[in-house]
Amino acid sequence: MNELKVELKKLVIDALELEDITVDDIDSSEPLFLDGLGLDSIDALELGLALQKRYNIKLAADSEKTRKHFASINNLAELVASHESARGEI
Amino acid sequence: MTESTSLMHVLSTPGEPHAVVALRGNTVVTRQAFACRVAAWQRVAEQQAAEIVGVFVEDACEFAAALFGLWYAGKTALLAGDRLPATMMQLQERVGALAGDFDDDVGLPLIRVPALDPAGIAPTFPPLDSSHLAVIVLTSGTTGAPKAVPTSLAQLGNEVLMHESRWGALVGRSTVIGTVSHQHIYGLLWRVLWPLIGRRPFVAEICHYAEEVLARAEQVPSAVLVTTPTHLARWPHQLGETAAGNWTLVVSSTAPLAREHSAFGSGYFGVLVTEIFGSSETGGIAWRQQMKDEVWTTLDGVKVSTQPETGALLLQSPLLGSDDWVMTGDQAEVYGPHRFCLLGRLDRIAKIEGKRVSLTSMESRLAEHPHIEEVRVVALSGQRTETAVVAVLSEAGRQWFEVEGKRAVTKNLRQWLAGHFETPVLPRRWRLVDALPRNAQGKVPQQHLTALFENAEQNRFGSDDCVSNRWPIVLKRELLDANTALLRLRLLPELVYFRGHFDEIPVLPGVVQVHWVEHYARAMFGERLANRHAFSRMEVVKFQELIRPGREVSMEISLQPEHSRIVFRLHDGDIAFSSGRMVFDASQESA
Repeated sequence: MNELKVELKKLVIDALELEDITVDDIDSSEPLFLDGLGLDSIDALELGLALQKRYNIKLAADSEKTRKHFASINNLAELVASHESARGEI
Repeated sequence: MTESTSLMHVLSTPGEPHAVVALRGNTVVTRQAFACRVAAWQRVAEQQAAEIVGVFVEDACEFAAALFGLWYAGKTALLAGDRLPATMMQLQERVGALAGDFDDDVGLPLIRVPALDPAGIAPTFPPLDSSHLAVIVLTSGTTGAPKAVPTSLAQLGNEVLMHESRWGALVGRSTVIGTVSHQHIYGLLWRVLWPLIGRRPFVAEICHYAEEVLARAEQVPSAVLVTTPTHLARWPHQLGETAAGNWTLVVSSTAPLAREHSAFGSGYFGVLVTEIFGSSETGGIAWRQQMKDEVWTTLDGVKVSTQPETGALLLQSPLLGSDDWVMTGDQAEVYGPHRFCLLGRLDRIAKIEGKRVSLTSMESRLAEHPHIEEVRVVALSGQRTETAVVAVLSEAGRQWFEVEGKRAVTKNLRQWLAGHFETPVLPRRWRLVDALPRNAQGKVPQQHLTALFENAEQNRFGSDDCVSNRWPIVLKRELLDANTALLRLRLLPELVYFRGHFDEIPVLPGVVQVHWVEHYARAMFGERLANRHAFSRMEVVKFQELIRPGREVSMEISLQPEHSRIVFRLHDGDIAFSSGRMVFDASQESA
């Protein structure tokens, strides 16, 4: 799980082309949007795209759910982990 | 041809009471229910003396009811694009009351969303007065101060009628789905007013994500999408995939759409993406379907010209209520009274992901911060359009920097701007310099400022998966076996290598092809490839076919370790573009 979190932090930095920030600067529980890392609605679209490309994850047609998944690295990691295990079972 | 009605007659024209005005969640808002909401809003609005009322309502259908209610109460609606502190200060100065989703403590009389009245009977409404001052929007003026743009009902009505006469019959009763807010003029016109006059349902919620848009479209017989380049450029999809739903029209506005994204959207939605060019001040100006014609064509009744000295686009429009030529801040090349190409902005207003922002006002706000000595803001366009800052720190700023570091300084400055600018336009890249880069005349040339951001871009673009203007998009890459790699690449027209090579027919230079082969060979085979210093020669290199902008190519690279060389081939099915061998000298390896 920790490896996945580091991977996701890296994904966030790369996909959103963030400057002046490293994996170590991102706290897994801090909000990614607004007050935390300061990401915005366009970043949310980029992030959705990156998750699809990397993990083949499709977002739910429900922005409330997506907002929850995108709240922090911890939540993102849960989303990816549950997606991976669901695929593994098939 | 579906019947349509003028904006003034939306509620006064008799209609089927159970006809659907809007979709909200899993429910519908009927014409009768909508009329009841308008009446409820009219009642609460009439209790306020204020003539101009600031409006913010998140639900587009409730917003529409509020708007009509205010109009029937004789009020003018000032649309708040957001509820940032700076916007609220603007509202304090310009409105007598607020209506909708605002906090209680804003210091202005508040018209709350009226309670639902399930037993309500829809009254009969008279037509609205077309000369009524309907809406005021705030937009970035050239001086940096926000500018209030007033619009009459007639102007709004004429504009939606213009769109209805061109596209109404084509889309019929398709449901209108939007990714943009109705609190801005584009969303107001296309997501709310145009559906209302065309008697077609609209979705009350804004759909932020592609998945929501598609889920909505699947529930209705046919759909119209009202969106922006920001969304189309980031639409998740598999190669060759098509969208769920039956699309009759896809509209994009707020900024020109890149050709690549127009091509994607047209294929994906199965209907050519239609772009609308306009502004809050002038209303709609022109439209284009890039896949058919890159040149903008004026909307009905609009004429264009340019100012000879500056190249500024001039226009005459029935939406402006006079025959005078009006100058815009856009530079254009005009091919006749009805056709033109856009060349960029003339002033310091930048379009950041479709949002207009005054660079001057951002600079003045930053300059007020005690950490800043001198500052310039530039607009950059890479993966996204964005603002970037070059700043000289004051003594206090330098001390803060030494203790807390760069990120703390810039985060602090971003927060300083946050109350005044929407998040997507806040600067994302900062260069803290000892002095602004000046030329011999003491001026700070734009290109010197943007050059400060180029290194980072090169670094970023060096990573393979990035969309860039120096690398192709890697659609697919795989190792066929231990010694063979296959990549599928898409070459965007924006690649720097196409510029000037050649002006008549842009083609990808051979040297770039070879450079990319080496780059991807290293990425795929890693240390198994010889050291770069051991490069010896190229052999049997052939460039057979020209590679043009927008092309997709397959790159096949085979490693032949026994000969210390790689063999490459660029092709697309049967078309062979180039091939050759790159030989490394193993004996140099230790060098």
